Amino acid sequence: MSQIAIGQYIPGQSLIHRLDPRAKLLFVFAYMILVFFSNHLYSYTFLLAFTFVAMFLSRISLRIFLLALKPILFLIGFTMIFHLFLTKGGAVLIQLPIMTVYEEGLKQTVFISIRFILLVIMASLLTFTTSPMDLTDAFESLLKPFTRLGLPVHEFALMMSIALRFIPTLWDETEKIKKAQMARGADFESGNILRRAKSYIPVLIPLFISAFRRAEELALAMEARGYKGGEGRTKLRELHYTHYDVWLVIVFIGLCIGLWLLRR
Amino acid sequence: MAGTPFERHAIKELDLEIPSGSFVSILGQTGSGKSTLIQLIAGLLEPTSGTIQVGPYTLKQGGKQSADVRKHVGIVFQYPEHQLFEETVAKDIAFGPRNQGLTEKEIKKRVEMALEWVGLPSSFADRSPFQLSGGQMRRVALAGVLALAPDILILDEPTAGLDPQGKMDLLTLIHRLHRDQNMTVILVTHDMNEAAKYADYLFVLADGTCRLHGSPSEVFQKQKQLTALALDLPEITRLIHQLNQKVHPPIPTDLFTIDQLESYLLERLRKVENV
Repeated sequence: MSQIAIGQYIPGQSLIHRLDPRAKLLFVFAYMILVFFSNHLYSYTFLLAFTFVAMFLSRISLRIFLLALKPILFLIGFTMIFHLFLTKGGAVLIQLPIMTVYEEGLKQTVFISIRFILLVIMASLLTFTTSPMDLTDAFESLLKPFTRLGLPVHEFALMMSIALRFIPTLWDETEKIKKAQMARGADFESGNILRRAKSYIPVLIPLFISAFRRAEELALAMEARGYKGGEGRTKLRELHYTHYDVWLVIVFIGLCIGLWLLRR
Repeated sequence: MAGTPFERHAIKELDLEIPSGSFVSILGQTGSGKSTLIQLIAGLLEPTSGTIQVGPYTLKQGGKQSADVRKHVGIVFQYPEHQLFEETVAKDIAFGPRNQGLTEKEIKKRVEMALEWVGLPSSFADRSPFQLSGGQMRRVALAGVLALAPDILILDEPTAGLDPQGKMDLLTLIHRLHRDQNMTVILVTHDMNEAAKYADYLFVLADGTCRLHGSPSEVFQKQKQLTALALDLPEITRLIHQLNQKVHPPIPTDLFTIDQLESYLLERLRKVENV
């Protein structure tokens, strides 16, 4: 793979890596809700500081976090502009002939962008420090109670892990087919969008065929090994909470209290 | 990927020359840099340093001649049947010539020529490539590359996954193309028997550099070096070595087909009887 993207797992041995994936997943989920309760410059600073500490503890370089933020910079910029010009309230800061920038608008602009950054960094922190396998296991384990309501939790988790497993495989396959068609004179770079999209047909058709073939082979291999769904199935790697996870709960409670005090 | 922990040199300090019109074979274990080398020659990868000369064209970093090189080099990847996509065999074979900008008439001629070269009857032209057998699909894919009328044909393990008869048929076909069309053939394989039987010249790669090269008889004499590179001798050479433990004078080791060995032994027998 040519670049580090949002969902990439970066192996490591840091404190954050060693947390139980279920605890991490729940924490990130709760933290994201928490971010929306923040409404004050102090509380945002508080959350930012916490996020920086978490980033530091993960021992993952800042550069990688910046790479993860890159794709959503556009979105942040877009919402910033909207808030800057369209939110009304408070004192007038800049008076332009076509629009006016209010104090409230500036405030919202800063808050919204911080909120975005906090959310993306936390979500990235989760995927950076948790292997896809652990993440699916965590999903399955957390959603297990819903099996009683008829939700196919195990199948869901299986689909997720298979999909994740095959991303690099299909990526390699795409590269290979692309090269083979390039050798036959296919051109993927010139022409307008429509032409370029059309030029990918000779890549997409073989890719779909091979994906279906792989799926069929995988299904056959699973059946041959006696796979019959999640019922009564034990796991090779079981998840265990450790005292670190207890600390995570305490940290979360600390965050809640801190935020509540700063909110007023 | 330069400068990241994922950086790896697939090829380094490699210097080799393939004469035009020859049939060479590139041997080596998985990960020895074979695939990278052929993709460089075909103009599909850009070298990070060094140059590749293909006929009049020079390939180097930032160079602009890779598109020209691709017009002259046909490359058949492993399991080429996985790249078929059209509704009919004829349309799929026509993909390359059409990209070259040929007229419909010329394209039709190329398709017929390619089908004939790979030994498929013209009745296959209107069938769907996905209803053919594995061996037939591979021939269609090969025809798709041959329809470009390349001067250089590169094949990456073309016989992988075929039965022994299919393997032999395919290689005979390639050898005939080489002989009749004067096509330069670069065959990547790790089957010593194929290399010994068809190639005029061998290159043995390991860890991204060329460790041994020479004619088959030269290369296969260096048994110790080959074993050190985890490569085997061709079956026939091993047989001759075994026979030589019993017979004197020894049988020459530059015989690479059963027919050659048979006629040599018959002649030798005749001489002995005449004495």
